[in-house]
Amino acid sequence: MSDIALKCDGVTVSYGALNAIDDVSHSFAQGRIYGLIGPNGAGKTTLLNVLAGRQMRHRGSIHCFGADITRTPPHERAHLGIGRSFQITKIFAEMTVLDNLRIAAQIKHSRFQPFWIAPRYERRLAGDIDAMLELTGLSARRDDIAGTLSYGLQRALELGITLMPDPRILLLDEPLAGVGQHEIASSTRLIKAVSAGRTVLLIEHNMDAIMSLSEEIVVMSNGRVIAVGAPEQIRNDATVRSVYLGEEES
Amino acid sequence: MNASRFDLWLGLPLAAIALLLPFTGPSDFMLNLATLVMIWAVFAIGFDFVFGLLGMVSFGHASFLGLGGYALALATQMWGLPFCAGVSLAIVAGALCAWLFSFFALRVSGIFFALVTLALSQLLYILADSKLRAWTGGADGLPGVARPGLGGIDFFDSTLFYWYVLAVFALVMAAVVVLRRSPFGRVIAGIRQNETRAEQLGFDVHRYKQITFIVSGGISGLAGALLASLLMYVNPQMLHWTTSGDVIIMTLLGGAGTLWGPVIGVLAFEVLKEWLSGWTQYWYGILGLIFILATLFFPKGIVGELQERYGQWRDKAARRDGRIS
Repeated sequence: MSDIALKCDGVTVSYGALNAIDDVSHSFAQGRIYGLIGPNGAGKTTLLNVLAGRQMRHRGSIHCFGADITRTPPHERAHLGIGRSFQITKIFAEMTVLDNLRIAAQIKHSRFQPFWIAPRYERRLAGDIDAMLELTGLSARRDDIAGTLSYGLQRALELGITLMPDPRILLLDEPLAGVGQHEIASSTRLIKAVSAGRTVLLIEHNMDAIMSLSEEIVVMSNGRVIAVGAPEQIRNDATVRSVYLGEEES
Repeated sequence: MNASRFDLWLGLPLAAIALLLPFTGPSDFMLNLATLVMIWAVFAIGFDFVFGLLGMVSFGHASFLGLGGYALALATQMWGLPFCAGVSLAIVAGALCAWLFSFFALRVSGIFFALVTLALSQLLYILADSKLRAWTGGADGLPGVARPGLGGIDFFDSTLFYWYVLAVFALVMAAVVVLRRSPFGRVIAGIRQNETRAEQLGFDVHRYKQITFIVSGGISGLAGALLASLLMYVNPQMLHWTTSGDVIIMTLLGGAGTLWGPVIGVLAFEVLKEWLSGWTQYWYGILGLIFILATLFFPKGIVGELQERYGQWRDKAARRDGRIS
């Protein structure tokens, strides 16, 4: 198995004359946490979409643990261990918290889903569901309809759904966006806890959170990777400060 | 939990009425109407698999119904197969047709899905009406479709045929309850609520939709066979798009996505149709007006609306009892 979890080679996504991503090549090592930052329109979410398989119209190639997945559809990528959360929460809003996690547990246990009422199968899912309720702090809300939860709790639920199949690679798109101030610290702790042992690509506009969570920062601007380095290094990088923080280059 | 208890409360009186009806000395007309309602209900339930559970408007379900009817007619008349084999063939024909449609229709979604299914089913209708006249009897149709033959029971008797259809209807209802509550059913509900999430979790959304479409086609094929058997006649009108339109109206009227919605919708539609057509030849117009008013005032359909009221009532009762703070 390759030490590289995800690798993109010369990836370009064009919308007409505009390149949302322009010739991006980067390797993401196994077990590291990467922070993806850059101004709006830098191409961060597009890159995540390319890696997760939501954006298949691109040039260049994608490899996952050494295997070429350029033409692999999203659901197959999920089975290779890629989990994805979204900028705008994607949960099963009309179902209970329990059923949300139950569906996620189903795909972990079997690719075939029974057409009949299957108590033994459901019992096999129960352990995983309880563990995830515990981890995300949603145990007391298990019977609530997911759409009625506060936004912070919906984000926690989405993280729980994403984590359920035990992905080796986590693509998290602004997991703190819209989360109330009082929930940021606990959400950051949760992300930190679940990142252990996984390759994580994290997009986040909360600078304190992303700098404390990430081991390596990838800075994008206008569809290109303009800098890569440890958080401290990036903080002091003159180019980054100029394009991202809008400061004059000295 | 709420929904399943509601389904039970609604289902029990319906079951009681269905079981007691033959003992109340009904006329043949009444029995035939009840049988027709159950057959159309089977069709609407099958249709609602795609419409209510997946949230996709199919305008091509007439094809599966019509093919089911023709499959039974041809199997029993042309190939001399027994009734049961004919019905099985009807289910297979409906499912197979849905499978073929799915290759074209599932490439698109929303209004385009409706249009592709409409175009495909109209193609089949035109073929049945003209080019395949040797098989379908053209506009004249095929008369003399068989009734079931089971241990010497005379199913040409309206009451006995009613029991036969009731048994099939009950089986279909039971199968639907099981499927909706199964892990597979949960995934289908998930796909309707958030397709992207389901796909990103690793579910092959296209395959799930295809399977649901095929099951829906199979159930519709079964309904087609029963309808042909009831009328002892099948013609291309069963394949016409207006048949697809009727089943959409019935399902919406009753409440798409609910267990009893399609059944209540068919019941309301057929009873209104019988009643209104006795009064005026413009019954379809009045029915249309009722449908428009219903969608304006009960957008969730009769059962959908009742289910919501029931949920609110239970919540209020629970709060009053202090079970929920």
